[in-house]
Amino acid sequence: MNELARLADSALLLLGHGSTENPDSSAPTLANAEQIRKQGIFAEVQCAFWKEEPGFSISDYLFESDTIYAVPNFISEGYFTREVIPRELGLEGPTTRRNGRTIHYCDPVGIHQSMTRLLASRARELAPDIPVQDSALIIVGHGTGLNAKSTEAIRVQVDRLEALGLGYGQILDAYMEEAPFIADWDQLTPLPHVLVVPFFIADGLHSYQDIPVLLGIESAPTAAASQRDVFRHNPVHIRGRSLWYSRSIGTDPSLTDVILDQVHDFRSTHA
Amino acid sequence: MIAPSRILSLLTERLRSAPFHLGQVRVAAGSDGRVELRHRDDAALDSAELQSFHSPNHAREIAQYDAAGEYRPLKGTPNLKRGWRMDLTGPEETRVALDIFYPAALALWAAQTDDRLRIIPLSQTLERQTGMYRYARTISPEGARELTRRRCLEGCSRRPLWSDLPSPAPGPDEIPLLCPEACSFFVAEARVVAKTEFEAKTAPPPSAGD
Ligand code: SF4
Repeated sequence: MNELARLADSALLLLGHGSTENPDSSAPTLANAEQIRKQGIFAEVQCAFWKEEPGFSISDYLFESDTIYAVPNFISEGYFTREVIPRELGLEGPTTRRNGRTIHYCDPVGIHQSMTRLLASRARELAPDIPVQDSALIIVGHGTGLNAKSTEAIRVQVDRLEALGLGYGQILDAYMEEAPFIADWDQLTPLPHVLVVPFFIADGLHSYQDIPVLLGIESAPTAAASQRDVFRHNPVHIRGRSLWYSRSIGTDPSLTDVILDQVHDFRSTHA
Repeated sequence: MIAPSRILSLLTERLRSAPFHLGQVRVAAGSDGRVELRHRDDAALDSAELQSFHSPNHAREIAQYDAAGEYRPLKGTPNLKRGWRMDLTGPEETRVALDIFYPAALALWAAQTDDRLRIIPLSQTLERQTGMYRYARTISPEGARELTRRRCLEGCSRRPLWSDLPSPAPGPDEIPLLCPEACSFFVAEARVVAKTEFEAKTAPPPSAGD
């Protein structure tokens, strides 16, 4: 039996944060689920959310398969992946068996090795024709004392991107709320081309409004209807540089591959 | 091997005695085994007066915002917009659409039908909260009842099975919309109520002359 055929009797549960304010937060998770469903790899594919429906705690009812792979569509380890999800799903560790059913709890998508390749290809697509040696690639996150793990996740990605030898003049991490501050992007690098990729699962206020304001490509945040326009003006010539600004990495259609990679990794690690 | 879907077979069975309702959605049998969904308040309208959709995934577009354009994070809120109809091929597509209109509703109904539904008392749901929601557990019994009345009985089409407040039993033409456990919206509001109660208790009594 090949690897994919082995999953045909199993189910995939994608766990997202969701939002009570707008549909942007859950949109990538729902889109990924739809994409994977179409591929027919799993018998069932379902989503559950912390702030939307169906809630985490009733996700058990969604499935008719005996084996479920639960993958947090979160950018890093932290409060949600370590505490909220295990508690709400009643998990006892990497594998939980109850009532004739087995639930395998995989690592969050954001920490998978293949996330690095996704960042690299996103950067390439963002500005395919610029000389990479004259370019700085900045991976930007939120960064607060509250979730040190998310900062660490970005530092790890930057180290891995460096190791890929992509040729960029610089690869840097920067944050909205801690040093190095993304607002100082032109101080962080002297290079003429600057690529900024937000390391978030979904587009939302941070990527539509807050980061563009910090970069200086938007004035004060407004409740603009066409928030996606912010990604359509690349490059922006500002502070004497060319600035390319990407959508959040989690919105990339190839994130489905990272999700599947997490399931495969779980299977090989816990075989 | 996976057993044939229990949810789908229950739905297929129920479709034989359509029309029926799930929340604000009316499900009716069309010709050639097709299924038509529309808002239950649009039942009497001519099809030509409604905007027609042919893919079950269009349910997301319909259910995402209310008629005033406000986002609907809690799909049980009885403000589903009107003016549409969905023409679907059969039980599979109907299931996809209904799962979007009312997430998990069919699964919970199947669990109840098979006697597998576990009802979680409110105290248990609140007790296990952590972080900023830990505070929700301090809500008074009266505050919780009042919130259940407002948020659930008046503000949601689902039936809070975990509450002892009487809620209308589903009619014979309805698939019940079940709520076996207080949702995250309820917990978030319980926290706000608990905080307000606490502040009211600890507020200094108004001094003379105030
Ligand atoms: S807890 Fe109340 S508001 Fe939430 S789904 Fe249940 S009935 Fe609706």
